[in-house]
Amino acid sequence: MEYPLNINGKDFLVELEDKGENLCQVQVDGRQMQVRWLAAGNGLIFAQVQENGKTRSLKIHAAKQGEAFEIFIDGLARTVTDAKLSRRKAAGSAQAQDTITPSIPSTVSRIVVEKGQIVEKGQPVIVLSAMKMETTLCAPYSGEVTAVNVNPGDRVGPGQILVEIEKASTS
Amino acid sequence: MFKKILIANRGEIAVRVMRTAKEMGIATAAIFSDADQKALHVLEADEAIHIGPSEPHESYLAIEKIIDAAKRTNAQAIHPGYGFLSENARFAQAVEDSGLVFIGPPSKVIAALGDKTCARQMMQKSGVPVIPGTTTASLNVNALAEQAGEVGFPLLIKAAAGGGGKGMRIVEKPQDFADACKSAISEAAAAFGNGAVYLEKRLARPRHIEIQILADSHGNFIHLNERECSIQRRHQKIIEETPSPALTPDLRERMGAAAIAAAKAAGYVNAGTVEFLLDADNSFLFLEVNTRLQVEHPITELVTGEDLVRCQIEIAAGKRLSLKQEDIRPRGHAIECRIYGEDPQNGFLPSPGKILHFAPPQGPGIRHDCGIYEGFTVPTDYDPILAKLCVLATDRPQAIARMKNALADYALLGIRTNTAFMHAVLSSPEFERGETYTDFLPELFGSWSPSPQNDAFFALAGVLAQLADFQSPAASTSAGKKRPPTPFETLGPWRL
Repeated sequence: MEYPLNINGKDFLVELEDKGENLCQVQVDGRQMQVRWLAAGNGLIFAQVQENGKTRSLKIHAAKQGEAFEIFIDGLARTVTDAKLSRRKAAGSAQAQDTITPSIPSTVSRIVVEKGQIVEKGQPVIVLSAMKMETTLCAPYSGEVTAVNVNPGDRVGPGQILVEIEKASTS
Repeated sequence: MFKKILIANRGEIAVRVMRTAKEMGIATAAIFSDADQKALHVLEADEAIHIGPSEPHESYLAIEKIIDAAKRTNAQAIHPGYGFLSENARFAQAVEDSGLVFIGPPSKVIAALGDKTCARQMMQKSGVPVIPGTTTASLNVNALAEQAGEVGFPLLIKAAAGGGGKGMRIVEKPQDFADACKSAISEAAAAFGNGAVYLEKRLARPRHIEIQILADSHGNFIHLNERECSIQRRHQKIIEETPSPALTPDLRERMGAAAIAAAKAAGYVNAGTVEFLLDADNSFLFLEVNTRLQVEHPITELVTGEDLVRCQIEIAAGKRLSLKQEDIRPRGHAIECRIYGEDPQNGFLPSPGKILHFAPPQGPGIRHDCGIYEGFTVPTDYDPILAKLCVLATDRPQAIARMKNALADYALLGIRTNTAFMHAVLSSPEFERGETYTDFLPELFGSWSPSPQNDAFFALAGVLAQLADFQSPAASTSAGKKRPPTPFETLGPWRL
């Protein structure tokens, strides 16, 4: 079986041949491994990986998050997604990068621009606060501020367009 | 002794205070906001009172609502935890006025020490060495500029009413002073309602070392040695240890004596912390007094074997300190790592959300003070501290090794935490040598990111997780336990 996966924007093809009795032959990222594994309850997998004559054991914690898996190994957590799905998502988020919207639920601290103002790409537009930390969202491109949709103190969420900017035609 | 106390806080510290109260046979009342209806401190308390919306000013900072909740639950005393109202003299005063007991210092002591220039004057008078600088606060930029020349550059501008880095500026050169001073004054005015600032000389590579003190209402004072808290991000401590690798027995004794002198000068009662900076030439200088239980108090508890919350409650109830200075004989080495819900791979942005899987480490010498659970949704409204992981071991190298294992075993999925970052800090040769100072992280770990070398294992793990057919927590509860057995459950005996 072939599993095209994506981790942090990088594609991986995992080829897995089941040998029975929880033993499989795996090829990933140009590496050959023999893997014996056991699911020890919901969310925990123990695996013994044999590679180049060396054996190491992996303690894997996993949880399903929508279509993706959240994986924890040796102190580090990563999201592993289906490569086809993540490409579609990436296309979607590229579009999202062009809008002024928070990445997590936040409260509006300050609005630095006003309607009608001409802004340069990268110029601070709005300051948000979440979990006692302030983040500044900047203009994705140069242009004119056509609408400010929120007020200081408002609670806002991802996807909500806080400030609208009309792209300058010459930039 | 009190029959019931109210804990005016949330998260791990509220849960930690309740644990001691339970041991002492004292009932506990919690307060909570809209965002915290299913928070661990609410579930752990004997009773819980909803006091308002998620916005802190309408809940955990709402003095009247909290006192009203204490009255309604017939609590006799209020423990403020850390943060929120813990160092608010008006709150302590309101608790005293309402006939309840504030588990902390008297309101007048909090007020005096909360004014940083007042505290500096107090310490100077009682012979405690203070950081060179001004002892009065001012709003006059020209007068301050003149004083700046006398203090010398680089220097720090600090808010008299300050805290948390607000209204604070580092100034390297005289020509930058006026602008920095004006912005510090306006920031301090916005944050504290008082724009007055004072000046302090900026020391080169200082360590942050603090002394834990205990004082009863009968005039007895002891200290419980130091904690070194030099590992800081954005003026926020993240890793603390005791003993400090920098202190000799002689220096420890002198700093302990200075801390007690400071506490006596302030008329201190209850648990408190006297913070010092230790200069490169090992001279220590007074920074401030924290009039509350510190976040990092567990490491002192681990090496001394004392329960500081129990001490606080007993002192507040009017008891004499049963401990004498010679009873304090710390043993071993303890380290604390603060687990924050933030993403080091994404500029340390906050990472709120639902916890899908949680398996914290266990083993000898591990203590875990925790305010979350699997299935809990971490709200966006509050400080991102989720838990504190502490270890105790025979000596510093063993404590570092134990903490590194514990961090590598701190399995939490659904949101991101800073555990891998702290693991990298503990693994650095500079930390191993104990060469820590307050700019350690910005200088050595300013551009840290996790190494991607094990991504192949994550890819493998992703496939194994698919094969194991793990369900998301929501799916597994709604589907119930009667789902068809997975291939795993039907597989035969398994051997390695």
